[in-house]
Order: sequence, then structure tokens, then C-alpha cells
Amino acid sequence: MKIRIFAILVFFPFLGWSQLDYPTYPQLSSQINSLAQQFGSGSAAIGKSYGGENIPIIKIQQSQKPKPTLLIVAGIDGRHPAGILSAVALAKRIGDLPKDSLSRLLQDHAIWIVPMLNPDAYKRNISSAVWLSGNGRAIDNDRDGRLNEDPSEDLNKDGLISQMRVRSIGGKYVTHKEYANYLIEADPQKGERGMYDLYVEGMDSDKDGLFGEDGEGGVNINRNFTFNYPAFTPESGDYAASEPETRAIVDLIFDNPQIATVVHYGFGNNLHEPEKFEQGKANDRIIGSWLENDAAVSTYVSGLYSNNTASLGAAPKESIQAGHFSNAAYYHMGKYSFSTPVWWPSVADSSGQSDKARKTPAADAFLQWATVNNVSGAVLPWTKVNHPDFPNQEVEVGGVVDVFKNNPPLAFLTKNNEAHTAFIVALLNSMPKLEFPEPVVTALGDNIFRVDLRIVNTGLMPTYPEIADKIKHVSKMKTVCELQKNQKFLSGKRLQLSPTLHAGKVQHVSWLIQGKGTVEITAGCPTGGENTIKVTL
Amino acid sequence: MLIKMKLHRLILPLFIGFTLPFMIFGQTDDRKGAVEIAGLRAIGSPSNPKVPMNWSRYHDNKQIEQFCKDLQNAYPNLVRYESIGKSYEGRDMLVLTVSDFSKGKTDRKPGMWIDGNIHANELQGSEIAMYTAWYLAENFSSVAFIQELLQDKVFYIAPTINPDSRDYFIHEPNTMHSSRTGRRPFDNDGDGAIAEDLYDDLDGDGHIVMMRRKSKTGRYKADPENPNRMLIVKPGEVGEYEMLGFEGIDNDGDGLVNEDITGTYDPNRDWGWNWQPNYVQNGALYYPGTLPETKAVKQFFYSHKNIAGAQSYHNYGGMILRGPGAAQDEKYYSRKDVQVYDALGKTGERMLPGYNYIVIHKDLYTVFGGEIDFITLARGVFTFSNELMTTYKLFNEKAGQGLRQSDEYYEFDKLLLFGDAYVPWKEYDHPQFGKIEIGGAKKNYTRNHPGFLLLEDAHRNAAFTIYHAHHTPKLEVLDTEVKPLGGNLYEVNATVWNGRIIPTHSDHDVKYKIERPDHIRLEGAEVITGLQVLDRDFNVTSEQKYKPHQIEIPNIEGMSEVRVRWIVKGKPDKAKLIVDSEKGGLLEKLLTEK
Repeated sequence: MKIRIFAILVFFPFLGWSQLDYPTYPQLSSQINSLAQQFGSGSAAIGKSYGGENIPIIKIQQSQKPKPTLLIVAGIDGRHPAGILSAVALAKRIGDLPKDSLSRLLQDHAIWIVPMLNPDAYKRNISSAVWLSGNGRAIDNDRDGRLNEDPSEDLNKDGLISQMRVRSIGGKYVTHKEYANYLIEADPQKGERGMYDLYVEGMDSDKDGLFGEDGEGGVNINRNFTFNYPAFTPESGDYAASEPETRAIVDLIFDNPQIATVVHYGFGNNLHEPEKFEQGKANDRIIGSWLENDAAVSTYVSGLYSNNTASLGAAPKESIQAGHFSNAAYYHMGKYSFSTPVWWPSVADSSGQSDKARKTPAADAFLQWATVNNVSGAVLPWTKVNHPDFPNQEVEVGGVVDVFKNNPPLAFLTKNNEAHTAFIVALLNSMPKLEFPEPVVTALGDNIFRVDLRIVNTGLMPTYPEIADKIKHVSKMKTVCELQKNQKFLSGKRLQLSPTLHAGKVQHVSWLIQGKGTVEITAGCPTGGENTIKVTL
Repeated sequence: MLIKMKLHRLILPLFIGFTLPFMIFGQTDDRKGAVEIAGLRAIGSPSNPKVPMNWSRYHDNKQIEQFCKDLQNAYPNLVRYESIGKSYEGRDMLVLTVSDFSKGKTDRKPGMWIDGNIHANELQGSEIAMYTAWYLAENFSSVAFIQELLQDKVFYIAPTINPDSRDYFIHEPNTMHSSRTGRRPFDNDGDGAIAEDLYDDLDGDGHIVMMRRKSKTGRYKADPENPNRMLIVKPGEVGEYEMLGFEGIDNDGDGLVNEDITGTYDPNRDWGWNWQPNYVQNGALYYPGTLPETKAVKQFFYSHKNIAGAQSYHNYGGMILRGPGAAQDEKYYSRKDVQVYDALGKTGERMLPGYNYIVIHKDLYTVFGGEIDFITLARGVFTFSNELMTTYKLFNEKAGQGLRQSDEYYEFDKLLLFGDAYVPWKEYDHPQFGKIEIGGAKKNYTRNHPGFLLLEDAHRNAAFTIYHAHHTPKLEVLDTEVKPLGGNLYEVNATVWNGRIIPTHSDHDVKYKIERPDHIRLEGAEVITGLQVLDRDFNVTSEQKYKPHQIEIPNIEGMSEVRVRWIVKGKPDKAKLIVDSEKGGLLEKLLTEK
């Protein structure tokens, strides 16, 4: 076995991934570190992975003073390395902005990027034959009491794991009419008769009738978050937030209340189609729909997204799965939370029917893209192998190499990264911004003063989502008025909390104070900006 | 107080003088207890324990640790204790392991987990857990049942899984309801400041009690029968007082009193099953396991897969609770599993007069992210949570009313505690409320047992957990048989029996494959094939192709047997049968052994 692995290392220098042209783990880590250095956040980490790797963060900000912050998170599911590279590209592109545009961008806001929440996955996958989701924890994926006893196996020794088809009577699959290397399920309605069984390339080492169902690849962090956590499903972990990566990102968000909006680069898409308000679900004890005003913001942000990414073609619909980061970020952490895969297979449609792309099955879009662009390594021809589990049947290895469905060779990301950077900048410019006009003081005589304060949200989004008002540990809109010893309130309180302030809205606070001197008013919230104003009575 | 102290000083040397000869005598084999004189032994209790304890009082962390040390020193072959992690403030989380260490591998015996005090104001769970360890060790030599129990089983006993808050409750000003939480400070009111409005012991008497103010519009009056008691006046009746809540002032000027005390979170909403955020489940934090205490206990469960039964003590109300905490988890309780709970729970009702065996979400309230749901549903362990202390215990009769309305507490205090339970009302000048009065029940009254009731309830609850532990699976090889098949082939048959109520896997566990299957293994023979025999009389079998020498059995149900068969090459003279079950234990038997 060892000798075989060695042979692969020598003779097949990862054919597949050299086609992707993705950096090695050390190369990627050093790219991230030097970006972090460039923006002055040092080689900061938000924690360590299960496998002991640093989880890096790039903080793009003008100073340490907290400002309303946009957080980008990528590299959660190990099968989506393109998200990591896009997040890194985003940091580079922002760094390359002209100095004055950059300083305008960062005047009231900050961007933090966690490009690789699951470093164990990238480290393992880039130097193996298959891209798997999980972190470095060894798990019993099929819950049979044995660890990693049935991994996928590179039978034809081409350095990657593809599909395996077995010619058999009663098989479920036939070859695709246009794309000969692709198998689809036979449809008896169309007069098709199945002739193949289809498996992932591998052996049934534990003789349970499944192939490669329990290999390396630990807990999928994107199935480990708290909202709608899928207990007892493959790769979801022993319980919600069981993994250090999961806890690290949740802790980061709670410990830094200025984080206002979160964008996930990875599986799941709520930007092409915005979140919907469903009254029934929104009123359940366990809230299952974005609240009404939050859904309106989602519609607005979706508009921004469409404007900036129209050139990329329509993305396939991709709902947000159980245990996903993005849902937890909204429902449990109280943030506006968006998710996009950044890249999807798309071929420019010359027919002028913009609707056509949406109606094309996702698999066909991928095959079309791979064929038109002649992407080598994405769909392989079938080659015969001898397989001990099927002694009298014809077994061939080939077909789709899974990783290409969501991760194109590096060069294909350029256009998408450009569009997504434009979206991120537009989103940042829409974020809430609180302004505090000089309070109005009215002397009522006899050392009694009325102080009227107006707080205005001049941003295009509310200070925080409506759902955050329900979450105890999210900082709220607050005003604190500190008096001198000789002063007292005739009306109004020292400290007042109030709900989120919508875009373009004004919040009035007023006090009736007896006694001369300077009062100090601090108002706002971390996600909208805070200010301290001195008023002399 | 003084008299008590003096007595104490006198008794202790006397006691040591008396026990010393026996202690020396007992040193040769610590599994032997000290010598007892039959006529001095009140049945069921050691008259001459190696670790003398007073079970009519409460203990802080230092005293708990001392107890663990003393018990381990007295019974090193039965008891050891360890720290399974640190609390938020850095205290050790102590767990006592109690088993007969000379018999079998301790961590492969079916285990019974007992914890107490997750809500730190609910003190007595700790004493009852400690009593259980003490009772087992001190009665080992005199009660045959306990000897067999500790030979077969292991107890993991965590007197307190919230040590920080326990000491805070005991040593700092609190109400009977406060300090339910832990000590990690959070911003509870969302104002960005942390723990800025705590209770204030205004009169400095060490008790946080109630505030009342004379008021023409108040809706309360003092009970003429018992001045400690405040009554709500009838509709149409004019009151004398308004109630102003627990002792405190508005420290942060937001118009609220005591609204940001340390940690109003709930450690029993921090667990990894159906966890929900605080707007669904008040008391929840960021995610299950935000607290180090929760993490340590969870870790212990994952590294002790032999735990087959569990008890988590709470107060108040006299309940033997089982899950689920939330109605939508009802689907995880199959009829078979419920039958197991019913068999144990109904016996528990008999053992604990005044306690009712009930289901959390149906009969109490809905809990998301609770500890026993995690233990039951994430780990597949049969778990109860006893809500200790009930008004039934006051006069040994059922009371109609709950904790806050009942007048029995006042009567009980008057007749049996002679006024020790209440701080009488006295006047106080409050900076925000003006002239008020302060008084009411002390923190250790109502929820926590009065001293003389504590010992009895400790024994009854300990006995219930012992019964629960006794019914964790006990696997035995009932019979083995070797039959020649002709040529050089032999058929080996074996029957394995679980002689207790609890199965090796709950139905829920089998369905979701929480724990690996039980293994029945033949070692030292050349196995051609292996089969599980489903019906011996009609020869219905199922063959296992993968690793046939080790038959995988999904579950061995309570009071049931499973049969396995191998066909082997060569006479299996030296073959050994091994039964290996995570929750059912590990057995070895030579085939030749009868």
C-alpha cells in the first residue's frame, strides 16, 4: 500500500490539481499572511483548527478603533477551495485600489476577511486525490464503529478520484446523449433502459454494499452550525458547534459587536434570489423565516448583487443547507447574512434568451462549460480496471471529477472576482452610518434645560437586522447621558435602549435636566457607529 | 451556635479515639469496612464509618474536595477522584469513580453517571451525589448486593458541575433563586456593559430578601397569622404594601433594579441537543458548550462510552423527570424505550414518596438544549433528572399549591424550625424607593432541604440511582456448544443474555447508530463463516460476510438473549468467546469453560 502511494507521488504529480493551478497550502498561507501584514493586522488568527492550524484573518481597516464592519468568510466546506482563492483575491483587489478611494471606503467602515475557516481541509485536499469537506478530525462517517475503513481509492492511478461505472443488467444509468463521458439516470418514460451502476471510484472495503463512504475527511464545518442542525447525518459532527472552527467564527462575531453584515463565499446562494418573508414561519417559536424588514433588506442587497454580477450569467439555484454558517449568522448571531458560491459554470448565451440558462439543468451547464472551454481533467474518458468486488463485470473509471463542478481552474475566477469585489464595495457603501447633529438645548428657566438629540441613519441599511433585537447578546441602539454631580433628570433616564434604526430614519431622544454644567451624551451602536457629544447647559 | 461548636469540638476527638483501632485494623484490605457492632448499626447505615460525615448540612467546594480525598484515602480500592476540567473561574470539576477496582477493567463496566448542582442555588444535588459515593463505599463490606454491584458496575459521581457559582451562592448575598447561573459575566440587557447592576445587600446582613413599601395603592398585606408572609389582597379590599422585588438598587440608572446580575444565563440550556438561542430558550448563550463546565462534562461522556445510565439532580418539586424537553423530540422516544423508562420511573415513585415520575415538556415546561436531552438523545443513555425537595416532605402529605403560594412553609418554619427560616421585616432608607422594609425567606429555605430532611431524601434518591445502575445491562454467556459437522469442520454456538431491564442500545441509539454494535467474537479458531441465529428452532440465520469471526449485534435488549453461530475449521479447543459491548461491558470465556 505504501509503495503504491509512493508510486503515485512520483509518477503522477497531481495531474488534476495542477490543472486547477491552485496554490499549495504553504503558498496559500503565505499569501494570506502577507496580505494580513500589508493591512497591518499582522499574522492574526481567530483560533486553531482541529488539526492545529491557524485560522487566519485579514483586517482591512484604518485604525484599531471599531467601526461598523463587513465580514467575509470563506473556506468552510473543504470542497469549495475557489471561495478561499476568491476571498484572497478580494483582499488583493481592495489593497490595489487607489489610495484615496481606499481611504474613502474605510472612513466609516472596515472589512474583515476570514479566507480559510477550515485550513485542515485545504491542507489535506491539495495534496491528495480528492477534495473532501471536513476538518482534521477522524470520524466514523457511516456510524458503524470503524474509522475511515472504506475510503475512496484511486484505482486507475491517475492521481484523482473520479467516478466508477459497472456495466450491469438492471443498472440505473445510461450515457448522456450529448456528453458521452457523462452518465445520467435512465428514464423509462423516454424509452431508456439502464445499463450501468455508478459509484465513486473505490472499493467496498467493509463489504456493506457502499463504496468509499467512510474515508478521511472529518466534520464538515458547514453542517456543524446551530441553526437547523442536522444531527446524526454524515459529516455533521457529534453535536452542533462541536468543532473548534465553528466556535472560533461564532466567538469572533459575538466578541466583535461592530460586525454588522456577513458574506459567505461558498456553497449556498441567497443573493441571486433574496430571502423571503414567510409570516407563518416568522411567527413560530423557532423562527424559520427572515423577518419582514430584514427580508426587504435582502431584496435590496440582492439588487446590488445582480447589478454587479450580471455579466457572470445566471447561477444555478442553490439553497442554504441545514447546519450552514449563513443561517446561523442571521438567526442566531443577528447579522445580515449572505452567501454566494462566487463562481458557477456558465457559458455566454448568444441567443439573447436570458431565461435559457436558468432552465438548463445544472449538470448540463457544467458539461457545456467544460466542453466549450476545453477544461482538461474535469470530465474524463472511461478506462477499464479490474475490480475484485465485481469479478465478472466490466468496470471502468472516468466521468466527472467532482471538484470541477464548483471550482474552475484559477484563471476562470478572474472575471468573477472582479464582479464580486465591485459588489462588496457597493455593499460596504450601503452599510449603516449614524450621524449625530448638534443636540438642541432649550433653557426653560430656573436652571431647567431640555436637551433634544437626533440620531440619523444616513446609510442604506438599518443599523442591524430586526432579529438582533431579539438576541440578548447583540449590542443594541443605546444612549447614555452622564450628568455632573449638581445635575439631575426631571425626565428621561441615564441609559436608554431602543430598537434598530432603519435606513434614512431619525431617532429622537430628549431629557429634562435641572442644573448647569456640561453633560456628556454617548449614542449609537457598534454596527452603526457611536459618538460622544458634550453639551453645555 | 456556640453550644453547637463546643459539642462539635468534643465529639470529634471522642470519635477519632473510638474509630482509631478499627481504622488500623482495617488497613490490610481497604475494601473491608471498619468493624461494626450489630446492635449499634441502624439497618442500612454504617454505625462506624471510616469517613464520618454530617449529612444534615451543605458543603462548599473546599469541603467537597476534602470529602473526595478522605473517601479515596479510606477506600483506595473502591474510590478515586479526579478533575475532569476547570470551571470558568478555574476551579476543578471533580468526579468520583466508585467501583471494585480489583474486579475487571473499571472503564469497561456499565457506568452510571450522577451529577448535581448544575443550577448552583440547587445545593442538595451535591450532598445527595456525595452521599451515594459514601454509602456505596461504607456499606461495601456489609451488604452483599453492593459488593456485587461494584463488581459489575462503575459509578461516576460529580457532586457539582457548577463549582464557581456554588461557592458564590454559599458565601455571597443571594436569593433562593439567584446564582442558578455560572460566573461568566455577560451583557444581559444588551447595553454593552457587563454585570453592571447586581443585587445589593442593603442592610449588610448576608441575606438578599424582599423589599416592601407601605403604600395606599399597594395590593399586598401582611398575613395576620404570620407576619413573615405577604398576602395578595382580595378584589375590592384595600392593601397596605407594594412589593418592590429583591433587595437592590438601580446601579446603572436605566430605571431597572438588579436587571444585570452576573450571568443570568442557564448552564442547563448550553447542551448539544436541539439547542436554541435565547429568544427561543431563555438562558442560552452563543452555542451549545459555550461554557467550560459543559465542555468538560461532554468530553467525559465521549471518553466514557460505557456510561449506560445517568441522573442529574435539580430542585424543586419532587419529580422524577425524563425527556424529552421539547415536544418536537417526542418522535425520538419509541414505545420500547418508554417502557424501560416506565419500569424504572414507576419503581422510583415507590422509593421516593411525594415524587412523581413525569415527562419534562408535557408536565413541567419546554426546555431546549438541556443536559438530560443531550445525554439521552445525543449519547443514547437512559437518563433521569430528579427535582429534589417537595412540600410533601413538610407534613408528609400532598399540598395543593406551589412554592410561592403555599402557607405550609410558614407553618413548618413555626412548628419545626422555630423561626430560623425567615428574616423579619425591618425598616431601611432606600436611595431610590425612600422608606422601605426588608425581610423574607432566607436563601436556603424552600428550595433546599432543611437539615433533618436532607439525610432521608439523600438515601432515597441514592437508592433510586443504585436501582437504576443495577438495571444497566448485565451480559452473561448462557451456554456454548461445539458440534462436529464432519471432516475437519465444527459448528460453534453461543447464547448471550442480558439479565437486566436496560438494553445495550436504546431503540433511538439503534435507529441513529449512536454507539457501535455489540461484538461477539470468537478468537483462537479459524472461522469459515459467522451467523446470527434469529430463530434456533427453525434455523433462521443471517450471515455476516465482513469479518465473520466478530458478529456484530445491533442491540441486546433487556431480559433477552441473542444467539450466534460460527463454522470453524479444526476443533476449537483453545478458542475464546469474547462479548464486547460499549454499554454492556466486556466478557471473556473459554469455549471449554462450563
